[in-house]
Amino acid sequence: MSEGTDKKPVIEVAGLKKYYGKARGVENVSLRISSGEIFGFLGPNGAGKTTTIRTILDYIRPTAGKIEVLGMDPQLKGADVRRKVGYLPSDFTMSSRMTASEYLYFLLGMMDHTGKNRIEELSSRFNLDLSKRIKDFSRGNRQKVGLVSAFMHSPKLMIMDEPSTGLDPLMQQEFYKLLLEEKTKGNTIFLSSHILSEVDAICDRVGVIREGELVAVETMGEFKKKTGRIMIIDFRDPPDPEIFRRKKGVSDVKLAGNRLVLTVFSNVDGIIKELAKHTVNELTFEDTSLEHVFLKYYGMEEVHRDNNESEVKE
Amino acid sequence: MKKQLFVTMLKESRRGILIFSIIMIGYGLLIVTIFPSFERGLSNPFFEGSGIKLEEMEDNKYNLSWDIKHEYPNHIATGAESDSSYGSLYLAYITGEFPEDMGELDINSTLDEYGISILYNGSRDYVNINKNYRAFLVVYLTEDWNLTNATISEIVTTENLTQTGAFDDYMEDNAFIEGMMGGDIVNMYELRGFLVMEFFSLWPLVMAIYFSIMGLSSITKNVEERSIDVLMATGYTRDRFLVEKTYVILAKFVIISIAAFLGLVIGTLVIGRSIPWAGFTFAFIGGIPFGLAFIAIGCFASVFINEYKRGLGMIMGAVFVQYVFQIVSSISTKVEFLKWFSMFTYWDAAELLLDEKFTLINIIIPLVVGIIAYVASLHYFRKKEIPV
Repeated sequence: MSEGTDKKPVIEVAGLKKYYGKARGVENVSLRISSGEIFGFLGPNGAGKTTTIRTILDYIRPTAGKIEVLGMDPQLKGADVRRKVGYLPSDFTMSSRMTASEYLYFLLGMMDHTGKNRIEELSSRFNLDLSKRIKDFSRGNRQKVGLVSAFMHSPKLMIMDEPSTGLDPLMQQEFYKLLLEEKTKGNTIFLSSHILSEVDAICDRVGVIREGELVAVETMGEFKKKTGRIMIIDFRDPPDPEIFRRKKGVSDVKLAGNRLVLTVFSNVDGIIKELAKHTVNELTFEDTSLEHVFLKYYGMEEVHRDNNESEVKE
Repeated sequence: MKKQLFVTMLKESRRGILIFSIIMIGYGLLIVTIFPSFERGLSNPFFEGSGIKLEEMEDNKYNLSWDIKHEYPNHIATGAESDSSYGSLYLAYITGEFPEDMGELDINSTLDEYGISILYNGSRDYVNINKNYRAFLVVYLTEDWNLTNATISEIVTTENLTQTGAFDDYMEDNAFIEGMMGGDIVNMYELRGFLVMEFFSLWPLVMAIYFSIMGLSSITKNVEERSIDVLMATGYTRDRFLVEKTYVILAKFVIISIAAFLGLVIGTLVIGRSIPWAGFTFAFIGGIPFGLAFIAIGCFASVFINEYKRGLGMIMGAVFVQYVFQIVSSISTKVEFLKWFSMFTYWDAAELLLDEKFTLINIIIPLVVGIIAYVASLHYFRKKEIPV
């Protein structure tokens, strides 16, 4: 379940357990992320994504388990690990009277980075005004500063906690493009998310975490096969839903008026051919919800409740 | 190794440091420039007995005054010059009787037998006299000047003439304030004594509050604002992070102390007095261990407390408890032992400024407290779980 590719692991986590007193943080998490891959860490709020990331970077200490990042033990060489990693925390926060430019160069100075940097290039790419004071920034602009700070020193490994938070759709696309470019350079990206479409768009593999436990690590292909996509079809005349229920690779078929909603895992060709027999007014695809993903992995009723709570928080 | 965090944080704080320094220069200046008017507010040197008062006047004379008693409209003011005449006067005071022939003498004549001078006789309630007398009393006489019906006042002497101001009267009624201001152990009507009471009674409190808050902010503020994640992501070790943050506080401590020192120096120049360089230097250098202790206490708190407001409450509580310990220990001997639990005890401005000397214990105890608190801060920060 936790095996990566055959390449040398950039991040290796084995049997990670973290408890806050009696409260569970994560339980028995094992991961192996190889060089040059984009790994998505998927789970609702409170599932343990941030706890795992913060343990990997030695902000918090594991209760049990072994971690290795870039060949180093973060508990022994936490500062070296962090220096070599481009890290974007969730809710990137700065408190300073400095301009964005001053702040980013200040961080570079703290890194003792004297070589070439990518501040200008990345700022221009994300339309970030470097001359403005960061305390005046909106959440989206703060996030852009965070993104620039994570990439500016050209790290080989980027760890990002909910990186697209606060970015508008255009910037999100630019960000995904940047991640794919980094991947082609052979760099590794480990990002957490609770947005399926984001993981779908950029990740090679995905780890699904729920209530502190890693329930699956899959390639995106395997993952999509298991989670499917929601297809919504508006017919001129309503079809018999049983025809679709009998189709292979389809589930959750519901008909409401002229609208048919179903989840497609595979056999898209068969569905399309069936649709062609009817007059279709509109056809749309939607991502399955996290709730749906967990139902697939657990088949547990309580997931519904848990995920509703997390959506409210988000 | 480049100290980027220290340099940048110090640069970021420059406005705050500048404002605080200006305030401290102004505060020192203001306190010193108050001194001449405080001096002018002093009474002339005087000695007061029951119903009689001797006051030293500016024209090299004494003024002897007494209360009027209705049944005794006539008064004879007497003075003694020599030891023997003082003894005679004292004897008269003890026995309550004067020689019968005294009433027959003119003013300024001397009673040969007893050596006592008649300084005034009449119905007035005062007399101005030359400074060659050392003891006085007043004889109250009835309408008929009959000495047998006379009564006499207490003796007032030129020894132990004292001065008071409004501040003394205020302090007499307020033991707590007196404790806070250092009691009556210094002469406030001398510049250095005045500064001990007026400047150094408050300055340590300001330093303790400000620098323990600075210490507290070193980690807690970044944790609460969540900016510590980004700063630590640069690869700073925890030790380096805390140490460079401490450098910033130390730099502020030095700058603000110099500003306060300059305030006193400039103030002293403004009022045209000679600057007590040694006293000032001792007083400020003597405050260094005290300041370091509070910085370290603040840093120690910052490692454990993640919410700034809660930390602020706790650190203020710790400072004020120590301050109160020092005050109450100077009011009552029963709780005198409390002073050893107060850092304020170890910055003894009176000793530093007036006696110009260091006491080893006042250096060692705050330094030891500071070192223990700071080493513990580093140790626990290495182990700290940085919360989200």
